[in-house]
Amino acid sequence: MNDPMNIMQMISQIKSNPAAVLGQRFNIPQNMNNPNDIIQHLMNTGQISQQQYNAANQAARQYFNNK
Amino acid sequence: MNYNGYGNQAYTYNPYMPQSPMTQNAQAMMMNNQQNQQNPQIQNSGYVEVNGYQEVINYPVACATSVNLIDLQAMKFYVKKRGFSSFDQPVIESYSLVKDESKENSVSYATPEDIKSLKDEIASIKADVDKLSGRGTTDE
Repeated sequence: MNDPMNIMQMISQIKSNPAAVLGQRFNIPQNMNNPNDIIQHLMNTGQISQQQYNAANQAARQYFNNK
Repeated sequence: MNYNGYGNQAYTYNPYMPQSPMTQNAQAMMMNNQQNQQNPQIQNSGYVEVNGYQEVINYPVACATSVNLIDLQAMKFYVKKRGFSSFDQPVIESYSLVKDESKENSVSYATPEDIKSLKDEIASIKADVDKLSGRGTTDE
């Protein structure tokens, strides 16, 4: 973790393809690009709960409706 | 917290010096703060508002949970539930909301015609009182 070469590689990887890094972090399959599919996958693997998604969805709706 | 020979922090339990009351209080306060931070969630009325049946189909539902959705445009209420296994497909039950037109639940209010008759009666009583007391006409 303290290796400077690894840090540079991580930074360059995030700059070139940030979505892939996030997908690896949450174990999302590479061919999955639909948001609802990704959310369903995160729910199935237990990384997020239904209440968390409901609250986040409502917050997003309120934000975009008030904009 | 002690440092072992490998340069890392290692937690060792010292029976002669268990956790002091100070740290126990601090830990209890931290736990309370964490619980308070988790409790103030976004207030929702218990159901999710959607527009159309397609949004109901697209709404993700976790295993062994059920979500209530309402479509206020079409006056429909949906319950979407899913079984315990990730292979279970979600089941959607739809209920239609019907407006209650029965008179027994409605509240009857006084109409302007009823109030007009009361006003006329009050005006005539006032006129009689003025006539008897000899005061002249009173203003309403």
